[in-house]
Amino acid sequence: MGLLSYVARRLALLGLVLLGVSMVVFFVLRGMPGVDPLAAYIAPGLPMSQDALASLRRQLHLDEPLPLQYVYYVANLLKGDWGYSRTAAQPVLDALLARLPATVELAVAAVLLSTALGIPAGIVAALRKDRAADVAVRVVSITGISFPVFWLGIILQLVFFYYMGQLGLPTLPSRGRIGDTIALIDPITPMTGLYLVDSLLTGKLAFFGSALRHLVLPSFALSLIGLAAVVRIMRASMLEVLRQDYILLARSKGLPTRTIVMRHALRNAITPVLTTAGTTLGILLGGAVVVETVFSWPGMGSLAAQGILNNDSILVVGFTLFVATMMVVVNLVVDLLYAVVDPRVRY
Amino acid sequence: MLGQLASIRRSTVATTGAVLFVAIFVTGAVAPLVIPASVVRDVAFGARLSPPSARHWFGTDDFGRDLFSLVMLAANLDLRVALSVVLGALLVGTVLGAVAGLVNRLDEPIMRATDVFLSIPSLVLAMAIASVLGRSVQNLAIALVFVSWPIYCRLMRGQVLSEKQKPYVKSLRTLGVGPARMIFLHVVPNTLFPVIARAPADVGLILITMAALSYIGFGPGPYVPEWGSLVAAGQTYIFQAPWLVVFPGVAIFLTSLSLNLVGDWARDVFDPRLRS
Repeated sequence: MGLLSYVARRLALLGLVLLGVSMVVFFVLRGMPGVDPLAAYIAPGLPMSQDALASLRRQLHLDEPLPLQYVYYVANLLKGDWGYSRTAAQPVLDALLARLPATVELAVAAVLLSTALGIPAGIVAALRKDRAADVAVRVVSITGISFPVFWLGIILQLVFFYYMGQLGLPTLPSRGRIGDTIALIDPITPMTGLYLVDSLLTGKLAFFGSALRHLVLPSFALSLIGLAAVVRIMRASMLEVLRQDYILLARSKGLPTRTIVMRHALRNAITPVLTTAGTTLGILLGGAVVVETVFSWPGMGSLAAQGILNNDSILVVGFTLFVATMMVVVNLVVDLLYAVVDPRVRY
Repeated sequence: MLGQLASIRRSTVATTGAVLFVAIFVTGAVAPLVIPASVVRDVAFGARLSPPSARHWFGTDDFGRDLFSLVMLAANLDLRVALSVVLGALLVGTVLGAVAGLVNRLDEPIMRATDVFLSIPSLVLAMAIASVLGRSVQNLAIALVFVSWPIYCRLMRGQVLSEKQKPYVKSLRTLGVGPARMIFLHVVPNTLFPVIARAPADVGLILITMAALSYIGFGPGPYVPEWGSLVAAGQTYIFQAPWLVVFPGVAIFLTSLSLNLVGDWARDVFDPRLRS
């Protein structure tokens, strides 16, 4: 079977998964026992007459049978009408899209950081299996997943912003994406919305520096969520590859270990790490809700957290749908890239 | 199986984890009996935000309440929620997984539903469910069960399918063992351990997730001690009274660390692929 038909089949599957996701989300929004779905649409405590409530219910098709409601719901989603968020005071999809770049910048930085730290750690652990370095890597990664990330974020602020400042040492910013002064006196024209990219494209290095410094603490805190998984997968996959015959052959040819690992083993061992990148990104997007809240990072996650405090379920559920869609699409892209890059993948 | 359980003593790391967890568990169970409820209710603004001392080991919070008592009391709620969520998810997941593995007609629909659930990040889905149900600890627990069962379901189904192929099933069938007896007395007990081996690490994960969700706003409010809400309440005074954040966070960390240490060992011992 050719690549094209593989892509076609995967796209059809993507459609089915998204359909399933929309059903789960619809069920959460409208099918919860003991919850009147209308409540999600009105601000709590807002005085409304019975007539007004009834007409709103009709207008939102909440008086129709559930299957029909679902059809209306999906039709609206496809039209881009994801409901109106009281928290953001704008339509849900607009609010999420406006804050998407901030979240993407944070999540991508965290994915890069956790792979950059996790891949070498995994390799070292595999090469020194059951010896001190392996045990050390294992202990560190178990400790890493045991940290509550929101707490670690606050501690990082305490140390790198407050205590370092008290000692007169250089500090790292603890809130937001950019320094207030720089944003006022030398703003950039948004193109991609990613501050690092936009500032480089327009050559504003001071802005770039400030954005980068703001990114350090939150992306480090977030990267810890994915780090342990990367280490574990890399270690297991490296051990597996090192057992293969062609590694034995390379050894018997007298190649130095360094060459064997870097040229022969790594290329094959690294693929499981890359294929799980989509799932890791999903986990990180969940973690982003918490990390963005801690660092007042103006992304989708902190908006959703505000939505929770305002009982703005339309926004929170919209965020869930958005993140799930992102994750499904990223997983597909990773799989397709993998199929293109690795000739051994049979579709 | 008992032999495998006994092997925990050969692993110092796992033993440390188990002892630590038991200690925290006992603390959580005993705390509400030993610490009077007035500690949580009575506010003493004269003593607010006092640093750790001989009288208040962890210092006091912004209501002047003894933080040590609050952190100990919170162990009760946090562990109760984390344990019951995993138990609930384990129950739902293994039953559905076993059904999927045993009843051909239901395999496809159950597994597709599982796939869909697994394609949504669990923290994000839990957030949506708890938000629609209304902010409370009980609803948070329901939401967490909702998002945690699929992994057990997938695991259990795989176990049942591979167990069904084993020769002993065929020989027992030849001996005249009926399907119900076969499933409940032979197949299910053999499949259960690798599934349960996930549980300790999952309790740790659920504990952290629950604390995180309660930190961002699903918490029970200032009069019910809970670790995540204690951190959230302390964050306002982070530079003034850092102990308010430090101690509840250390409690979450130690509990989840103890569970992960046990979980790491359990995975090694019960993972069928690693068993020799």
